[in-house]
Amino acid sequence: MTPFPDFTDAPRAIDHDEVIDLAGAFALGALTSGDAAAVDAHLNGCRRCAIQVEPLVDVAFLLPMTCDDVAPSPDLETRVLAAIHAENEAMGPIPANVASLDEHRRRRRPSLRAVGAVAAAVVAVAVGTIALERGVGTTGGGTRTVDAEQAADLGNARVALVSSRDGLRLQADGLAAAPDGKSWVVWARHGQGGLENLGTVSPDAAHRASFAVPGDASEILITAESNPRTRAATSPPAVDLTNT
Amino acid sequence: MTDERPAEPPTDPPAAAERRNGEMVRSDRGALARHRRLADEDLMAMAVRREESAFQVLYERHGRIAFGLAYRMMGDRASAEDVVQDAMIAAWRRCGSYRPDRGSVRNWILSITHHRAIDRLRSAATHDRRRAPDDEVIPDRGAPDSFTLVWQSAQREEIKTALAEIPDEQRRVIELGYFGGYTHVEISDLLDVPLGTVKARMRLGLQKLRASLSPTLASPS
Repeated sequence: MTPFPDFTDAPRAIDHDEVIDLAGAFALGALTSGDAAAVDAHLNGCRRCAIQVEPLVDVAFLLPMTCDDVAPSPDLETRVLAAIHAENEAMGPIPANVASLDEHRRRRRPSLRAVGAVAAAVVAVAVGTIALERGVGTTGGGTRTVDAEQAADLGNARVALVSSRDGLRLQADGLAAAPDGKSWVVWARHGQGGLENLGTVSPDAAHRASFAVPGDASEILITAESNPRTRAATSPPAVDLTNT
Repeated sequence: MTDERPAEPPTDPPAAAERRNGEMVRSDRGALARHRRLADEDLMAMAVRREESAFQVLYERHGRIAFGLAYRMMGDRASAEDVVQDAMIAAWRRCGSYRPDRGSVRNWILSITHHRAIDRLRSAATHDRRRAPDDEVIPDRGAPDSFTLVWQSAQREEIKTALAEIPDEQRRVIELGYFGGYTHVEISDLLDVPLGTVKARMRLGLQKLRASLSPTLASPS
């Protein structure tokens, strides 16, 4: 996960007219990342605009069909499979709470394109990615135990998003203190938008930490920051949990 | 757009690629054969459980069109393969974040590929952009089955025809934006037309394209 092109301040607010004005460029991916994030953030909360923009996005997804049908070299498949196999081997065991295929099918929504469905009763399942300075390891879901040798900064941390009656919480066991002069800052991403600084989290004497996070966040991240009130992350995320 | 082919859930343990004597060994054929009967969404659920053979089938289904898109955008095979490799690895890492309510697996993979290609095109290192496509022809191995080829070919022809029928100036901005990786502001400068005109041409062009397609293609849900 080298560059973080969308690792910026929260997107600017734009109105309905501007969203519709930018709809074509948005569908084609012809906006700057900042403008695209602004449109996306608006669409996530505005069904009226989404209804107008979604058909254009759908049509844009057909454009690759107009490309010449050329086959990649056979080596490409081998390289891709070797890369994911290497990552798989480097990761720990599959968390027990990752849905099996049967469970997944039972959970599947009847309408796959229903937008704006109320998910209040759905137990949040955290799927996490632990991104480290020296590379990225991916979890299949649930929680992730970080190997201390891989992530000396984090300690042997087990990090998860846990849903309860009180809302969604980020919970960590075995969390080390942030590096000298830095704090662990928790970020939330809403939809495809920018990141919101939620505050800092510190482990207690037992190296545990718990932090309330917004239930509608699509992604929760932790970074080590010199300025705990920064509005833009300055380091790669030590923890990246996708809230599904 | 979700593949709803009926399929039996696999009962065998996860089939993973293995490295033996330093060589990558593909997933066992039985597992692949079973996985090939599964819908994309089911394969994604298995990929979340880190079943490599499930992801291999997703690559088989969508790697080719992703490469076609990357090749069109990058203009050379090496860069296109780098883009697809990056995109596929990113998809594997982030398969848990896939949301079926936001679109099909195919579109999700193409979206990652498109963004990766745009990132490269917009980077200073490759800012010379348009290069003539390579002439090298790669032997076609592992092509989709004949029914799929005919079906895709028919779709391709319909979309190409529809794209050809929209006004030239609208098609031009669509192609520069989508395949060229240019922003609407850059296109405005490039073509020396007002920014508002570029935005309108993009929007109207896509609307006309959609209107001229058959309902199956225009409304993938």
